[in-house]
Amino acid sequence: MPCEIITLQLGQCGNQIGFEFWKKLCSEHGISPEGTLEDYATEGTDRKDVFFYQADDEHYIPRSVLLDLEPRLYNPENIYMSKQGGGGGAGNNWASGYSQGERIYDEVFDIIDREADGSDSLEGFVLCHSIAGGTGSGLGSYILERLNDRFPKKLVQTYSVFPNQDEISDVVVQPYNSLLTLRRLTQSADCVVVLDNTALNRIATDRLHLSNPSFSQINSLVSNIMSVSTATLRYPSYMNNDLIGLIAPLIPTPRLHFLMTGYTPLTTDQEVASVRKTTVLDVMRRLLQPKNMMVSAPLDRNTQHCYISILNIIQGEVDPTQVHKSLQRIRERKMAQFIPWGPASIQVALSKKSPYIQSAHRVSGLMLANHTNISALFERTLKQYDKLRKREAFLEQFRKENMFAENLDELDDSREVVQHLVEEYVAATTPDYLSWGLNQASTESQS
Amino acid sequence: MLHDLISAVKGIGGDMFVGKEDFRFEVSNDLGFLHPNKKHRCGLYLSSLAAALLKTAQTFHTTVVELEYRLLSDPHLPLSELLLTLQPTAPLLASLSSLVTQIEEKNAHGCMILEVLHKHTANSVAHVKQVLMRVEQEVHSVLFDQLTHWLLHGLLLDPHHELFIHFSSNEAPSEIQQMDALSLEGMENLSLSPECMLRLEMLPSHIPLSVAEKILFIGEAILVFEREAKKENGVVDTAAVSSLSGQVLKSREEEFKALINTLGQEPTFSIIQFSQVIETIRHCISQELWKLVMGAGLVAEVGDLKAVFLLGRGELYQTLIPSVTPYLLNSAPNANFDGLFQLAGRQVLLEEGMLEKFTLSLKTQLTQSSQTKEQPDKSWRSLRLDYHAKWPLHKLFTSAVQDKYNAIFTFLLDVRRAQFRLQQLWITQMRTKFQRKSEADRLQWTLRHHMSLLIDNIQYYLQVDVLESQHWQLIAEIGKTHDYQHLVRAHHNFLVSVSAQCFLNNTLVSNCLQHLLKLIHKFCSILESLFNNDSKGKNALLLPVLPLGTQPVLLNSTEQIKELNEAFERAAARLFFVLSNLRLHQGSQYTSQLIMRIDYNKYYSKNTAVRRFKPALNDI
Repeated sequence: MPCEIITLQLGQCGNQIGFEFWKKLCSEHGISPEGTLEDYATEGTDRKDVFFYQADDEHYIPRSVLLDLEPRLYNPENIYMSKQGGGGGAGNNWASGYSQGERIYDEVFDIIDREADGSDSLEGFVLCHSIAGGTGSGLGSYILERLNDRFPKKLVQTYSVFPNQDEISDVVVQPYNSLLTLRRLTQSADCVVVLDNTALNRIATDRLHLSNPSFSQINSLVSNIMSVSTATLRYPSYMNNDLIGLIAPLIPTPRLHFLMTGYTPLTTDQEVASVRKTTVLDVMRRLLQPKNMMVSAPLDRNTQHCYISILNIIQGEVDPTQVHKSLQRIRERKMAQFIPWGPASIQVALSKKSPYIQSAHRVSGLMLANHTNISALFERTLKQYDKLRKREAFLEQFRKENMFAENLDELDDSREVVQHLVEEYVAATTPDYLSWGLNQASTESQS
Repeated sequence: MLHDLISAVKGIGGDMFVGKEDFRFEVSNDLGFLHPNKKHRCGLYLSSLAAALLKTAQTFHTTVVELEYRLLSDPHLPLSELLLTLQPTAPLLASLSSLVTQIEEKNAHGCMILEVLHKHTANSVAHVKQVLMRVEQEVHSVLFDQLTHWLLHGLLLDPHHELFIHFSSNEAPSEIQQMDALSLEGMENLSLSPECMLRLEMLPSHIPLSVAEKILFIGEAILVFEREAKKENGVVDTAAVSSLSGQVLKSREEEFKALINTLGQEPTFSIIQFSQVIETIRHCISQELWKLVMGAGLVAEVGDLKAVFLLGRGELYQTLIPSVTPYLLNSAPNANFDGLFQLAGRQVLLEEGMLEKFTLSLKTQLTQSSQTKEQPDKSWRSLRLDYHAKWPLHKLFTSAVQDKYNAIFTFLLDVRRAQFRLQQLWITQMRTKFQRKSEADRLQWTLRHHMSLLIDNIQYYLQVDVLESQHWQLIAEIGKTHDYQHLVRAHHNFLVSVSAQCFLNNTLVSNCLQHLLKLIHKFCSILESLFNNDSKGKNALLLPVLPLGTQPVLLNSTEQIKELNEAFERAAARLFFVLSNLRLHQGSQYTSQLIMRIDYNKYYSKNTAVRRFKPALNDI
């Protein structure tokens, strides 16, 4: 079966969103917690095999690998947990997570290899993690680099959770962790779906009217994004049948591969009762509103930020003739600004919905967008890093690891890569982006 | 003298009286001045006309006999009396005579006799008209008789080929014999059920073509109902179908028969009435056929056709394209394309029963030059899908319809393949991102991205604006109607719209698209071989000496890509230009839809003017 995808869940955050994701997929495909098909799951047109494999005639098992350096309460199959017990763990330290990755390389890749062998033609990996903590960021970075070596032809997509900038984090080295992970995301991932906790919290409070959103409420937002963005892979349709078909059109040049997402309509469980007549135009218009975006990036007055590419996945009862009209309206009213250096458009994929889940909304939509304003998020990371670095704060924890024992070049290099990324995004707002950075070629290629 | 006159008036009257007892065709021959030289013609219509004419002439004969009696009893009967008695019959006789002469001159046969007769009747007045109407009524009764058989039982009782409907004799043309086994099978099926056709030269002008088409349809439909149901379903599971078909007709057979009888009773032939009766029957049959077709799962079947012919199941082709590619190289051995197709279907877990309905094969094209005859042209364009429609859907999805589907299929597959190759390149490019960063590299990225954007936009246009929209409309139409013929028309319109919106019939646009696709495939081939060389080159680096010739190859490809880039940008601009012109002149909605998609951020409209006037490089 072609185009299978293996999900790697790393660290506490990665495992939590992964858990929600699988819960969602199971309910969409009518798979019970025991892995068997529910009695009502009689429509055979979905493609369960992309994310699940069949252990026997009855049981569906997720193609997933759960990795955590700290023992936590979890279902114990196909999980790698650090055997070091209490003394181990990444301690929210990137360097520790990364170097432990080197140590447990064989064991981890045994699991991944076994999983890869179990698929007919593996298309790639989806990695869920947070960039702020220790395991998701450190071990995640290590695994990203190794995946490229080990599976050079396989795609690597990540769902990366960015820390909430409005709160004071209990992880003091979060800016270091974030920066170091960002470097790997830039260099070793093919596509990064950015899930910004700041925006997720804002959406939960403003849009869903939750005064104090819980982790699981936030995570269900995330799992919704993940499940819709994989809908075209899981339900047969005309296009976007594989991961590459989904992400390649969004990414015009190698480094500009960080995607924002938006979802509409957003409802809480209480609101479900009131069915609203949403139209395609409503959905597409709302998707372009910043308040529905899962990335919070403040407006930069110096730069005319713009969309590099947009893919809307529309689900539900859609009259296809409405799509054109909506696109036209959006174009006429200039609701979306596009890059000046090449053709760009809003691509609209129509996808099926799970027949087993009752939805309050006739039409719903997910936007995957490549927008230059995402650089604001990276700039914020850089700023926080600089603040910490200037004071040389909390570096001793890093110096304990070999990588940082002699010098802090790794941090400096990472900063340069991220700085370069920000510059490239800014350059992408200008007409001469295509010739941008060509003279710096020699220095960059060393990294 | 007067006896002679009377004899002369009667012509060879003596023979005529003999023939009166006998209504065989030969009788007309004896009518002498009425029907000379008709020995070699025969037919129901003709004999019926003859009989009717004979009846008409009866009054005249009686008059003559009476005259003769009076002449015998009164030898002084003046000639004027004779004239006075015979004169009233003169206009009728003249008219009949001219009718016969016309039929003869036109060499009218079968139904065409009706046409002449009908015109003649229409042009006459008073008594003559009355008489001619009776004649016409009688000749029409032959038609009604034939139609009763045809309309109610699908029987064509027409030994002399007089009706405007006939079974086309299926003489296999020579080219068919050269088709592959599969098509031959198709032909056999076809000859089992010879096609009914209209014979326009036999259609009287007072029966409108639309009515004739309805008549044809009804009989054909009954054939589908009864005969072919038995034939194709065999004896096994006919229960449901045959019981239905039998009952349906029986319940209304009497009613229809009575209707046709009433038509025959009418003194004048009224086309309005006639059309109404035909329409009543057609409507009934069409509704029954609709039930039958819907019962056979038409909507699901149309969905399957969209899934396979119109690439609705993208993952099937995602799997098929790479697996077929190696076998389409000219040097490749012959492959079982259907096997690959079925395998791909199984790999993507296509529903049971769906695959069996389709067969993929390499259509052997007859090449003009005799040298290449042995080698069939192995190209993507010669892949053909065949759909095995089950009864009674086979009437809807005829081979002509499937040809249309295949034309669309070929185009869609070509676009899909271009998209597939460009996407595969993406991952290869992605992997080399930190190895090289040069102008050439950047150009490769930009060009690939432009190409893939254009193809993607065309694909989204095809999926959403064309295929989904048209399919949506078709399903809505099917839901609205309860009439089989409306259904056929809706499906026909669907195919016509899709072909038009894929620009298959617009050479200007389709040439542009073909050219673009060619450039894309060329680009993919260059880059694919470049990357292959690259990965080999890496190994070569381990050797102490770089192999000679590496550099020129690289340079060469850079130049090639530069040229391709120019050519592609020009071709894309040209497409945009052609489409814009088309929109200006035709104003068709779909053209603007495609334009809007490829020019969403107005990149092309801003850059086209510049591009078009750039000096042209040699086209690739």
